[in-house]
Amino acid sequence: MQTIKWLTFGLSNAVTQTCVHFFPAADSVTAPYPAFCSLSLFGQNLPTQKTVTLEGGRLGNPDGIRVKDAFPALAAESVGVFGLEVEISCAQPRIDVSGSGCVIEFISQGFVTRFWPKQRAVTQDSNRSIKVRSSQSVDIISKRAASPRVGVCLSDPYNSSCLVVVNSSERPVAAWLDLSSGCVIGNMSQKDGSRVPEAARLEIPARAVVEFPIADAVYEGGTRQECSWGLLKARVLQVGFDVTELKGRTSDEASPGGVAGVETAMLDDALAAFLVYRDLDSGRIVSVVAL
Amino acid sequence: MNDPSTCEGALQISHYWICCAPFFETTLLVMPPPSRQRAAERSSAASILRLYDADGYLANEVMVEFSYDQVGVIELEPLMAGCKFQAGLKHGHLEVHSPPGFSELCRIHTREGASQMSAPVLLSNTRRVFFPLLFSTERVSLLCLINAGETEAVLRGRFFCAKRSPEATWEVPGRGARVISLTSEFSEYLEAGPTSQVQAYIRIGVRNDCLVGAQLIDRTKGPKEGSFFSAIS
Repeated sequence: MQTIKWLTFGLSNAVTQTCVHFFPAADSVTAPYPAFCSLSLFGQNLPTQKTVTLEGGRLGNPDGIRVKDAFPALAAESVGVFGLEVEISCAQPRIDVSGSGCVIEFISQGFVTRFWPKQRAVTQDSNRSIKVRSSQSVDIISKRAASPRVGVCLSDPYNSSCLVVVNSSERPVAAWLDLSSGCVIGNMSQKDGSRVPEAARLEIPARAVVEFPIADAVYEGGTRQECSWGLLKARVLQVGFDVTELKGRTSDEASPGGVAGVETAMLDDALAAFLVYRDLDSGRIVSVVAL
Repeated sequence: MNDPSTCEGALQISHYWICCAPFFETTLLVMPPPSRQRAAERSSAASILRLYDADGYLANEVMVEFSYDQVGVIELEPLMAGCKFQAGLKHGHLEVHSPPGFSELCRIHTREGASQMSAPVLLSNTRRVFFPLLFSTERVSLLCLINAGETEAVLRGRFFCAKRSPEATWEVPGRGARVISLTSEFSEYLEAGPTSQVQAYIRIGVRNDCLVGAQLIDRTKGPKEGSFFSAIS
């Protein structure tokens, strides 16, 4: 069965609801073959992982659902942030659904915020063994694991920023943040090969979503530009995950070309980072950018 | 899917839809490559910005030096004097030629607020894209299209609302841009009451051999005067 997956986070509280919109599609196929969409919910405040499969979808026909309709537990209580894995599949084995799309939508106080979730490069077959979709995907996920994800955090009269990290794997991970001036927070090797203090690591539990606020101190030494709307402070943010240490391997073994490289990349593929921008007056999320 | 960058020689090319009047303005944020990928001996690198108006005429071309240590911030309104109004907006197509590793993010702002806007999602004659739409009396949805190629692109949009799925056809000039108000285009199929919301979708494809970028902008009337604009990021 052909599948495509995305990893994201959602919000559920008194004023914000999350919708998942999906578009099962196959390039060069116009027939409306049946398609399925599975949603897997996880997070610290949720007792167990829950998966719901939505039937009735058709290739070429967009559809969507409010997450609390799929998981009534979210409607009953305010859980805050949660993790969500979205999977689109088609029963026709020869149809490639990699042309499908997914959009996450937050609706809060009548305002709408939409973003593209992180697309996963690997899938899992029914025998629970991990397989890679193609040799090209191996390259993609290996490069992704080898290079940090880059974004820009902002602070100005309109917006503040924070980082949301999603760990869909079954083991805790450490994330490091690198602010491009060389200031490092987290468990990252420095230029001289030494590591920054352990105390600076950002820990993300297994199957959890963690929000890290970006403190004002982060912008010291960064870009400060007087714009037409006021002072804009900006800083490049690099986010990487320390998966080599977790697996007890050396950096060489876990390099993209190494034996353990693909396995390490797969663990990295189970992690996602998002830069979240909030309106300074209302606190409402106005934009989310997947790194 | 949401990374429309292509490479031409040593430079990578990205395409953005931009607007400067009358409702909101666009700012370009340029991020240097990760520290591991930088050319150690250089402190800055030059990027070329080409601005095409809605009909695809080159309205401006500038070269800008961006630092490897800082975020580049460019308010685009002063560069868009040569762009004309189309569909009530002064908008156009920005082509960014930047050194490898650099990436960009657009930001739109009004007096009421600001939000981030990613590069338009790419579609071709084999790749269709979709956008979710939420219609209400307080909201207007604008479909923004840019043509990355030289020849006119012909697009077909299918609107999914309840059990109806009407189609519409649009043309985008080579290198140009078009803005379509989906609220007006499909108004006869929207049967919302004065306060209700209507969920719908638009599916877009290209009929001929062109590469087109699409972005969705939502205009929401705020509780006070003015509007808030948001894009898919």
